[in-house]
Amino acid sequence: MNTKNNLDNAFKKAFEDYQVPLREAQWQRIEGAVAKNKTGKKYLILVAVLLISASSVLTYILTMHFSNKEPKISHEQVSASEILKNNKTNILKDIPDQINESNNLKKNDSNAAIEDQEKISPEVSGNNNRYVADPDSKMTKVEDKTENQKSLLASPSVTGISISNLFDKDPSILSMGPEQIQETTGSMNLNKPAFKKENEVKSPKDSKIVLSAAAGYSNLRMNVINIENQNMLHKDTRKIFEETNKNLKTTFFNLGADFSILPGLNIGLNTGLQYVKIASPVNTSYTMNEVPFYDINRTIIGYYNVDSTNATEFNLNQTNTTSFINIPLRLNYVLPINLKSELLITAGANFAAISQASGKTISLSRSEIRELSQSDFNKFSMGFLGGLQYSHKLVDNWWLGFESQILSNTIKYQSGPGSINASLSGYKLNLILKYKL
Amino acid sequence: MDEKILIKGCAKGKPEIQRKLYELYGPQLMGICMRYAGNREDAEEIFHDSFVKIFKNISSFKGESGLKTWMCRIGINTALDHLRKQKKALFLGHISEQMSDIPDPDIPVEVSIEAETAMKLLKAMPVNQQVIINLFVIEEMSHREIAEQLNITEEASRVQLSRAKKALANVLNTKLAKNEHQK
Repeated sequence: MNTKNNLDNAFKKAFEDYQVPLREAQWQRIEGAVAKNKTGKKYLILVAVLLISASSVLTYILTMHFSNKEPKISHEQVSASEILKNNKTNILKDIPDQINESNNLKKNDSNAAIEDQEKISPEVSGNNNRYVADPDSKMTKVEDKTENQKSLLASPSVTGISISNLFDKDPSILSMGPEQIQETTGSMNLNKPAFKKENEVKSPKDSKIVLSAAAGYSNLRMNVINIENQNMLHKDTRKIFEETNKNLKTTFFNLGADFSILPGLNIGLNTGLQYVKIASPVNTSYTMNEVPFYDINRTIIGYYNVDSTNATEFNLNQTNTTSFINIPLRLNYVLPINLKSELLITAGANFAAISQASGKTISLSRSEIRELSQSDFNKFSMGFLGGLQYSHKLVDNWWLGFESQILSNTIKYQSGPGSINASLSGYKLNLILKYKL
Repeated sequence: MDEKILIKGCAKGKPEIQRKLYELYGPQLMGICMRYAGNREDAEEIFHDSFVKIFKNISSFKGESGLKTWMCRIGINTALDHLRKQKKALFLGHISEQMSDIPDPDIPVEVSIEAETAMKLLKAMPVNQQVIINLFVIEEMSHREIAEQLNITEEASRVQLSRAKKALANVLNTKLAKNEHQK
């Protein structure tokens, strides 16, 4: 008789194709975990793409901004008095001489001087300053002007001042001789800018990037949307959740940046980083006098009543806090009211990551008071936000805005074998300080 | 459904295909989890973690073995990880080597036992012996593979197997003797 491996064979055969029936709840749990993984991954990818895009746009815009700024003084605020002071020479006094010089040049090739006006950037080396003609000046529209006036327009010495502005302000200057021009300009208020800083005269929508800081008041509410695996949770779970999440007090601080993406259509993109802290004062007591009983699959199949002496009592009296790091991504539509004020309509998505949770909560499935932790919530969530913003120019590039905003974010709270899906929604009233580059 | 379709669908994260895979191989995987875990609760934990791993990694499945084998492998590894985390077993390091001279115990006749009975016998043993029986007898791993898997010596694996089989043989021989006596 072969006794070898009888034992092994017996066990092998016994477990050959051994199967154990599954419960529906097992699939729901796996499905939830897989979906959570997928969503988390999606959020991460999306956030990474957004950050990369935002930083690329920022880098590009800043590079463009500074590379354009360096050689062009025309973008700077230069008042006639400043030019006079800096150069220690009264340019306007020199105008007659320069007109004469130009006339001499003109004799040689006056037409070329005018025709080439747009090709050659006339420059003048004042003491330490170099002035470049404003590329937008209307120098080509002088065909019917006198030769002197043509020379004056072409004169390199005065290109630091927008001559076209002078003509626009006072067309009679076209018919003046050099002495009269001197007299006229001499009587000008030289403390006022001869032409304005570029970003002073342009519409607010023209700024390519706007940095902002905001803070304010918000009123948010937590509303239960649904409960997953409800048949595994005590029937008072929702009540406890709502009880411990009412009277929310929110503080937030936002650092943001607006990028002009479609200037022609007045459309911009806003993103930033927002820190939100939600405090929930909890002052509640709960007596569990209905104790659930479960089937083999941990599903609650009923409750039995216990008398007050055997009932478990839970008392909570503290403040729970939850903090989020938000990344808003929204489109802005700019409606300029005038040069000093604008209206913005904004709408978009908000990506939130929970950064901290502290406090205490009642766990009915464990029948205990337990510490609230970050892992009780899903790490990432998404929502929408939209609002209306009014901004007014304060001084130079500084603007002050007021924004009313509505927002809603989803939050998933894990409670034992189940979870509560809730929405955190409400409105915010922000004061925004903006700096336009 | 074709295995390739299952793999592709799961890799793309299609819930209906994932459900199909779960229904097709889930009960068997749950059987493995039950063999390694002491109870249904732990088995469900292992099962859950195994399926999450399967769905997460199925896109990297190369098809070198069958899909079922691959899934079972994940189930076994997850079960072993679970046991390690629970610090339940696998303290198999210090075994007296003289034990390895004991001949492999067996039963004198071919017997057929029900899965439920086999499970009961298995659960009656210490966890480390359960693991060795599972790996050596049912998974057909060599002592070298078991040693690598559990980070123990091959000798320790042999000794534990010998002890486990001795215990099982005793129980079965007693039962057989009882049956014989009743006849």
